[in-house]
Amino acid sequence: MGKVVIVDAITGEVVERTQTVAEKTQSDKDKAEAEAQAEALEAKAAARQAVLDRLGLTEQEAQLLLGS
Amino acid sequence: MGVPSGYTSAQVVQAVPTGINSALVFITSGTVTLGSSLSFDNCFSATYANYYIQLTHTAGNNPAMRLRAGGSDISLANYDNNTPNYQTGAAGGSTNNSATSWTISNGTGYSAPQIFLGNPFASTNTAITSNFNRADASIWQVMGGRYNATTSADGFSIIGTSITVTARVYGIANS
Repeated sequence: MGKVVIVDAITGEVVERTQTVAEKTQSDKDKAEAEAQAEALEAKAAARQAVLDRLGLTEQEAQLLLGS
Repeated sequence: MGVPSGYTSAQVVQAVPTGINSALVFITSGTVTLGSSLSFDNCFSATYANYYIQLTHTAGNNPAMRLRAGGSDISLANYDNNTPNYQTGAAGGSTNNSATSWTISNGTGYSAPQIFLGNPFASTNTAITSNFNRADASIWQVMGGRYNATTSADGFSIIGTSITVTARVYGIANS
């Protein structure tokens, strides 16, 4: 169980506690989704680099050609 | 410019004096150290339409943001965002609609992310803009998005795994 900090802006009360079971379930789901997104970005960047390598182009040359 | 008579550098604006038509007004702040979330309740209200949130993020990968209402995170799949970025010499980015949170960074080591929220408390779509520049200069990215439902939120959470984050929340007072 992870640590949770909750601040009430009106009362100034700060609660620090461990996650509930429901919060842990949601947190695990969030973590899996975030990792999947990060991996997808890395895969996209790797695929782009592989194409550039096959064409013998640098990133700067590709940007000149594609305007990106 | 020196500190005016009667003020110290440690003071922050807690209310807008008469005659001052606009200001960033400090509302609250908090820190989580190696935790799973940092949440704020009752920081959004009818007093301000728009808010500025200054984060300091020093540990934990991929922190994200979620709105809250009534003391609970809003985890519905209504978070849309488009995120152009520049990573290790290459332009890139992603579009992520109907997600359950806003991805406000990808990685760790971001030094001072800035977030603007538009109309989180109003019963209309909430707009978000955030800007991240990683401390090692390998990634910068800008994220623009919305919460695509007419939900009134009174707070927000920064979520992640073993994250160390400090957030300072300001209301933007308009004339």
